[in-house]
Amino acid sequence: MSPLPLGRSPEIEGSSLERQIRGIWPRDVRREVLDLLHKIGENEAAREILSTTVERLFRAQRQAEQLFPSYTLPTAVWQLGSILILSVHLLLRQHGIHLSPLEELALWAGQSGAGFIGTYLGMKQLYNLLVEQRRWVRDRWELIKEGLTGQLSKRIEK
Amino acid sequence: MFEDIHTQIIGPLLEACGLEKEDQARLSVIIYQVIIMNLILKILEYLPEEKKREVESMLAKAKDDNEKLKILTDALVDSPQTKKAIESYIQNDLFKFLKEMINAFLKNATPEQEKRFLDLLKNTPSVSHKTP
Repeated sequence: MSPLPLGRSPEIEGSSLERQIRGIWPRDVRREVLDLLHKIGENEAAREILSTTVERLFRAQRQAEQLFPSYTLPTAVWQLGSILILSVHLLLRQHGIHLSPLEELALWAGQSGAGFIGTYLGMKQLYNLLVEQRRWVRDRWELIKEGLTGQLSKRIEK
Repeated sequence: MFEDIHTQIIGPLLEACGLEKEDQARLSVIIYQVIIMNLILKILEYLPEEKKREVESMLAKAKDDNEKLKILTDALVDSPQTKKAIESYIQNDLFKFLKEMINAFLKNATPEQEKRFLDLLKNTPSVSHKTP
């Protein structure tokens, strides 16, 4: 089966996964991605998912650098993301997915005390806006899932 | 919302890959970070130019990283454009990214991985709420 007609164009010309990983920062994140890549090994499907994710991360970091050139925005955005992900943490844990301990994420965020709490509350407000989109996400996924299930069933039957 | 994305899409996709639970979790974290980073960038993009300049100037004067993060957080939350930016991100960019990952999987999956993914999709209970 050819890939679904929904996706991305081929890899960015002249780029490679390794080159993009080298461009990732903070350093802890780069190390995590490299370690994961090593562990995934020859699992091509998982490797391609990681590769797609890294490509997006790489692009997002370049975009962040352009938005506020005088500030290390990629790191700041990563920090904010780490705080927002705290809101996701407990939900995922209910499904047996254990993320890094909260303390570790807080360290990533580089925050402590009142500064951290203030930022966390701000991110919680964003999270609440995301929750408002829940129904849209569910309905959209149902449509995609229906098509995907049909395509996969046909391919496997052959 | 993230719960749905995880149980319905990302969870089955990573499980179908056959990764260990711990590696599924680690890859999930990176994926969610990318989603959140892009969401934050989308909101910043939606800021009016004048507000962007104001934020840039405040960042330049900030004393420490805590203050910088506070400036950014306030800019993200206070903007009247935030809700619009979030809608745009979820309804366009997020699904594009999710589809990219599904395609990345399908392009490289073994027949066993594909079958596993199909089984997981079929066994994931529907969460759609079509009633008003």
